Amino acid sequence: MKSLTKAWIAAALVLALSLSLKVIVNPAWSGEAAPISRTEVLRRFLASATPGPLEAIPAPPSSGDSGGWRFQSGACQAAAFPSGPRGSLDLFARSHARKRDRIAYVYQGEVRSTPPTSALGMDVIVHRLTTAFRPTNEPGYVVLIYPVTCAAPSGLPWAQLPTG
Amino acid sequence: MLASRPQTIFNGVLTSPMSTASAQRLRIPTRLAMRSRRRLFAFTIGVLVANAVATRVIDAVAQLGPANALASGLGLSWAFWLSFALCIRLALIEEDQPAGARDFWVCGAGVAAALIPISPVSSLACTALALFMLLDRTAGVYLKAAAMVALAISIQLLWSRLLMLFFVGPVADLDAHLVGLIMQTPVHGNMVGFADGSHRLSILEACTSVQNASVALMLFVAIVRTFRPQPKVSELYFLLGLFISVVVVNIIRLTLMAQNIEMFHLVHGDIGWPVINAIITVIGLLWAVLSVRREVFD
Repeated sequence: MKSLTKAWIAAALVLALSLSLKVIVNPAWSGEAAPISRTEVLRRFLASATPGPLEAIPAPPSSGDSGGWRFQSGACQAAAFPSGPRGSLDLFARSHARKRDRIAYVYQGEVRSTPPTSALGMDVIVHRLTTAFRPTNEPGYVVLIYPVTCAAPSGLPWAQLPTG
Repeated sequence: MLASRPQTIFNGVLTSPMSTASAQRLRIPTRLAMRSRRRLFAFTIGVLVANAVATRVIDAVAQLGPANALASGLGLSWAFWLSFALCIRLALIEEDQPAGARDFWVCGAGVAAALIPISPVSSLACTALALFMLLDRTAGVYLKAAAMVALAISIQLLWSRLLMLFFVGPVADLDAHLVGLIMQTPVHGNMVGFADGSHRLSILEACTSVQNASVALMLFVAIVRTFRPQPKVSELYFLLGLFISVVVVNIIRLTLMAQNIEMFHLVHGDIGWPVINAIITVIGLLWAVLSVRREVFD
């Protein structure tokens, strides 16, 4: 066999091997169960951390957004949403804020007034590199919407809420 | 290290005894050292870029089915596939040289990176390989041209996304303020009021100019390097013109969308998107052809 033919065969094998590895470990085709949705994780957290009943705020179907929950925060009604898909700038969650509302963001247990862009960005990079082989939720924060007349619901044990 | 690269090569046969000895010193098999340098780099770029986009192609096929995925560019734009093909072609038309030990080590590392089943690692390795080729004084003009296209491809695949991961907010805000300035409507962050006051337009990552600019950059570099492998300073002006054009087209699109809800659905819908994408692709092509008009038409 000519050396050029051998080289082509070797190149094709390397290419096939590298692409096969991508297919084999791709979470979409792995058959593993999908992780619990971030909406459900948030529901479980709020159910255990707040006294009153929760009211679902469903996301439009096939929008890629995650639904949120209305909950009682002291004497006020607040709403919490998992952050939206990357690049969506939490459009769905923020669309529920009225003029008399404030928006806050919870990430890694901390309630803040601006989205945790830098911290989240670094965590997303680490997540992509370390958990590429199994279906997992990407790290995200929680968007809180509450009336300006009320305090931010920072008294909840937010540190117990997983970021993913 | 190899002190010098063998000079006399005919049909891939290494004739310099010094280089053969160097290769043996480095435990690189002589048969391998005889391999063509251009093919080695073309192959490594091909493997890296194929692996960099593999996840997106797999996802597109899984979600849309093979036929629809193929029709929609396999999860990427057709500008990408054209640029990829031109990049490989540029590397393959380089004057033949034997691959040296350093080339084998670098390309071996690239292939090893491609075997890691995480696509962004391949994009990162593609950037590193492109920078190596650009900085390598022994690389010919076509290999350097291929390296520039590979770098533009990796910018589109990895670096523009990383940029948006951290700066999507300010970029979207800037676009919203430009639209608000033109329409004289109120702006709040990335949201701008409709001209008729009925709604507010939210500018998201996919609507920003950066996404279009990175695709246009890749196409521009691929076309220009194909017709003129050696870069010229004047290209920077054409590139600047291209970026300004892309931003202007995008701002016009956003301004049209913010007129009223009917216009929004028209421009943002199934007809408007492909039309705008086609316009941006044509603009990228026009600026590229304008830049290499002498090489194309003379």
